[in-house]
Amino acid sequence: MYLRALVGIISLAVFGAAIAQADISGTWMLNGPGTESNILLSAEGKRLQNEYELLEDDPSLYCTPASSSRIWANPGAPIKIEQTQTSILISYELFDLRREIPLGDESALTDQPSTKNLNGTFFPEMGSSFANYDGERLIIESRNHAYGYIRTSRGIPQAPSTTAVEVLEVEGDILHITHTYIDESIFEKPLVLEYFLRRADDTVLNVYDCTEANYNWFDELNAN
Amino acid sequence: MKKILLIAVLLSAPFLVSAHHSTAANFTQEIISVEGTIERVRFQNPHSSVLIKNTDDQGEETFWLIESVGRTTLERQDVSFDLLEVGSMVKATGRKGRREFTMYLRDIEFEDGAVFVPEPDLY
Repeated sequence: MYLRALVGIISLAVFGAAIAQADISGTWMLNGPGTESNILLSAEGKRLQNEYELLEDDPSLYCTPASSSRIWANPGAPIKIEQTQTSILISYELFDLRREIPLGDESALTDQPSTKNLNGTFFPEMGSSFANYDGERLIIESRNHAYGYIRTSRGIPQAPSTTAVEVLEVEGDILHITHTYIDESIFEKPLVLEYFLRRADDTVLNVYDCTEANYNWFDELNAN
Repeated sequence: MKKILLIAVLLSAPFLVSAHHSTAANFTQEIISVEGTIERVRFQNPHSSVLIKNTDDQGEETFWLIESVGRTTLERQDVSFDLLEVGSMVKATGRKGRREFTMYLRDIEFEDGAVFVPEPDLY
């Protein structure tokens, strides 16, 4: 029930507002640790968490984004946001990700993931998204996620049933993002994360060229 | 007994948060040192690393993977791994990994006493 209520409130805010471009364009860097609400996992959420083994299952080891929250919250890797009349393009240096989000309502949502890397590989862990403006705020809603991890250090999961809402808002030279994960099958109540990014328009995104970092080769060295 | 200098450090001062997101989960707070020969240097993303071969008094060899932050982050701080040459004898110091024989690099000391610190603000 809370899912419907929350999505309804967000939808009203989005579609009742005048279309405008928020001042979020530019390059941003994570600015210190963010915040998170209490994480209350359901039985299914706990089951998914218990199956996770950090040293083996962290998708980052395989150059795969574990979730959009994992990508937003990575220190030292710039993120560039561009806005057009029809879409938002977010370029993450981490894993060379390019996330193109159509502006519009739910009808803009497609089954295709919104994010791919420079090699053209799509990542459903980042979901399929659409976005709209609420005054100066940009609101991104994402669905159709693949299983992944909102927090890789503790195995906090996401699932295909997960809806994520990102609210982007500029406060001075800080980009404030409120990221809400809603999934009654995993969470007893929505998980709310906040990130703060500082403006870094002089920073150039480099090609990341990720190399898989699994440890098989190393384990074999000491096994011999 | 392996020729590993295990510097027992239960730190009185807290660590700064690592520049890499998962570092806190993958590495403990215990500081250790390992002596050995550099066998391989990887300057890449998502992790840079140095492979060191430690040989104990009985001649038994153990490989240690000394990990650091990724290439793009280091390059942005004008840090390279060019000083780290395969075959050099070094002593690496850093946080002991949760995975056996791994460490998060704090510094590498060369035979001539020179010390390489890739992330001076980290510790």
